[in-house]
Amino acid sequence: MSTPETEAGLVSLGTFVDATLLTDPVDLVPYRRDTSAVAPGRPEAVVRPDNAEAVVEVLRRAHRGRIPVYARGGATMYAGGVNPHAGGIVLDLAGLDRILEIDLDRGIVVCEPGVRFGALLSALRPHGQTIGVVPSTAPTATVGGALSAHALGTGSPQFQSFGDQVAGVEVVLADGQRVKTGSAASPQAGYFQRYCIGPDLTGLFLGADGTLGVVVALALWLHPLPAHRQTNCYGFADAQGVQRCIQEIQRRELVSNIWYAGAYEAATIKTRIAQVFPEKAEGPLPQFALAVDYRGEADRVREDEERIARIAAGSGGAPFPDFNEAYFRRLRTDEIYWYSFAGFFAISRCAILMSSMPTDRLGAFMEVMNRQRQSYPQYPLGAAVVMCRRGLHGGALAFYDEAAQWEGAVAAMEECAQALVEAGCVPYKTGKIWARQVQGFTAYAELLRRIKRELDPRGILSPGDLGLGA
Amino acid sequence: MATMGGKETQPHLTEFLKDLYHCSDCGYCAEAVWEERGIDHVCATLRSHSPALSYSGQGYLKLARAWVEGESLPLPALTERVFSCTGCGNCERICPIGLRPMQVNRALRRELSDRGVVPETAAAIRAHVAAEQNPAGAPFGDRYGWRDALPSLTQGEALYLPGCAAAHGRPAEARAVVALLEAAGVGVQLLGDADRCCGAPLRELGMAEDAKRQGGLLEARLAERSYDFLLTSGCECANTFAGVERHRSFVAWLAEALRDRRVRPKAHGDLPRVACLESCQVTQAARAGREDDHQALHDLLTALGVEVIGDTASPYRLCCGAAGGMAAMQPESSRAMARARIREISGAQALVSVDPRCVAQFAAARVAGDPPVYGVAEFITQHFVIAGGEG
Repeated sequence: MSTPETEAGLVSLGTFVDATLLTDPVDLVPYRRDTSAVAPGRPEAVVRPDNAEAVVEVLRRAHRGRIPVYARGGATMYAGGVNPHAGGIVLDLAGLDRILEIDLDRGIVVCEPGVRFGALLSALRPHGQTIGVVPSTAPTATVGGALSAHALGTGSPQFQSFGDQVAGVEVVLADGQRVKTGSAASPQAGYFQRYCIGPDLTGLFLGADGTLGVVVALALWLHPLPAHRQTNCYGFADAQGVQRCIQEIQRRELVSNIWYAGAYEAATIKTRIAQVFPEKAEGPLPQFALAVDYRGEADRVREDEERIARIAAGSGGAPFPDFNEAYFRRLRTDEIYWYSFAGFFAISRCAILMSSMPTDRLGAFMEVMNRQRQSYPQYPLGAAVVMCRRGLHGGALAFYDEAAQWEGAVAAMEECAQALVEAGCVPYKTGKIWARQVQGFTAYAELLRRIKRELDPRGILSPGDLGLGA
Repeated sequence: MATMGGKETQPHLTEFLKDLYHCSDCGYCAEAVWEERGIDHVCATLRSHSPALSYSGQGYLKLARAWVEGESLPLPALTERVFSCTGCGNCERICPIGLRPMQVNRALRRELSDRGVVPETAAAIRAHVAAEQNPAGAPFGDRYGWRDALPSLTQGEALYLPGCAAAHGRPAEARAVVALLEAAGVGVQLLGDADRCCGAPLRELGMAEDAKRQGGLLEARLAERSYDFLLTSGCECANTFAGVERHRSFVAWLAEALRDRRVRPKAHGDLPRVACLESCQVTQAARAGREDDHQALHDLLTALGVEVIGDTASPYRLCCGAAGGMAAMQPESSRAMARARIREISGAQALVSVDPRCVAQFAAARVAGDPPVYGVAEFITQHFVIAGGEG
């Protein structure tokens, strides 16, 4: 609800020249939520700055007026981080969409947070370059959003998480102060190295959902475009087999030519096969599948593929060409399968909970999924796992009818979140959906709150995210 | 301030509840960029009006849902946003899960129109159609002004309806159509003073009942004539007559006439390199399973030896801003859209479209250095000598 102080602050924003200010209630409606099932918020204004100076000015005024500010990129995340639960301002960073520098000598691209992955990849392609981690929401997701919410996806087997590809950031703090991190803290040096000078201050802003500052520029490491692509899938009779296989691949670090790898359970396998080979969907199918997308130099890809085929066989796996054909050659070439977590949204609205886990907890993760299925048969539950350099990212997906089942689906996901933590998984893509669990990690949460108080003493930045300042 | 909301019902939106509740905010219909699929700048309205998402397919879905859920929304702003959509349909082509934001926009327009809430300019279009039988308000007496040099055409196997766009906005195209029909030995008749607007401009504005009534007027006039087939230039007219047994679009007829050698054009001089401008109306018709007039145009020009180049790298071409009543309601934005569309095209020496409304729009937005713009019939009559049929 607007206070006189808030309203005065918002009125003062109207004097901007380098930002678009939206206050008409009609214009605010589309800025209430992201892709998640988390409850929408109600912003009192949307400000779309054209440059970093305008961001500074917004934050200064918001800081003075104690107006909540929710930084927003493509709003394609599943965790409600940009949903403005405390009202205030949605800071739409999609207008900061310039690629500031492509430095091939340093192997760095510096860009503003509103650059969409699709645009960045297009700009890098003529240079024979790409970036390490690209989420499945690439056509609309922004690099700033990916940084703020720990994006993952293609590239995770080699590089783990989007944050691992960040060489430094420029951030605007709550009071409007601009700071560069990593080597760029030295104006003479610029961006080239993240771990230097002192503690890794870049890391403070990765996965922070905009709670500690607003990133106005980020430097990403470049990588050569892979020359060759090959995909393969293996079927397994149980979770233990696929877990052993992934563990062995990770232990031997056979990940340098894997662009993407995911493990899928029986229900997903059956759905995918049915979409492409309906006549085979009722036949005997593996209980688990490991799908691997190799990218790299052709001879190295072939070597790794042969090694991994042997590892799969040694773990009880067998080649699964039908899944390879269905998943990689047909479905993932569709728009649908690039749209938010491999096209699950095609079925219905879908509440997604992402967690991270050590590979040896895959079985425990699947047990939680199975218990949830029994408890909530009304929300068909899907589970999928992305292989990382270390450990796994697991997605729990509850399909629901938003018109009739929204509240129940959210409650089921909250229960699932707690069960996953108890099973040894940790929150990933945290936003608001995992807020309660974050606060349950007592010492960590206390340190987080102390940092928050120092950087954002008035608590204006993304209140509610990570359980901070709700 | 006047608002919508409360306990009222929205029968036209109810049809789209699945769309409203399934939309997952992926944003493809607003600001997607994906080079591999040629996707960029999907929404001409969002690009030309404001960065506010309320001017996009995504926004229309959200606004419609808020209204259905009983939220009070300020009427003037809602109306302005809703009547800013060109209706190009890119949002529906790109939606990964097959939702229908453009049709939701049209349903929103219908809800507003049913309540008598339309922009003044939209009301003016309705008045123009009633008084002058065209959305621009051009004098009805000028509708067949282009026919002055032609004989009176009251009988013939083909009844040609130029439509408002060709008759008033691009008379050269109407004249060229008749010339090509005659060259093929086809007897042409025109409605002349009996002609009426088919109602398509009103349908675009959500004035469904008015559109139906207007269409009925034209149907009655057609029923008074005897003809073998009905031919239209305007793509929106073609959509009005979709499914009518004896109806053909002009370009479909021309493609067939060239194949059968009933028309034998012979190029005089060098032919320009052509970019074929897609009409959103044609794209939508093709998606609905009707004849693909773009393909017909491409094929017939290629068969005539014209070098045809792609008009953009993207399959999601920006709308030229002519549709949805935009040219009349928001002329500045509409012209900006046409300029943006022209800037997308490179390497063409001439632009050709099957849709006279697009041609008129591009022609009005052209500046020095832009390639000339033609309707398909105009292009052929200007660059070829037309010989009649064999035998």
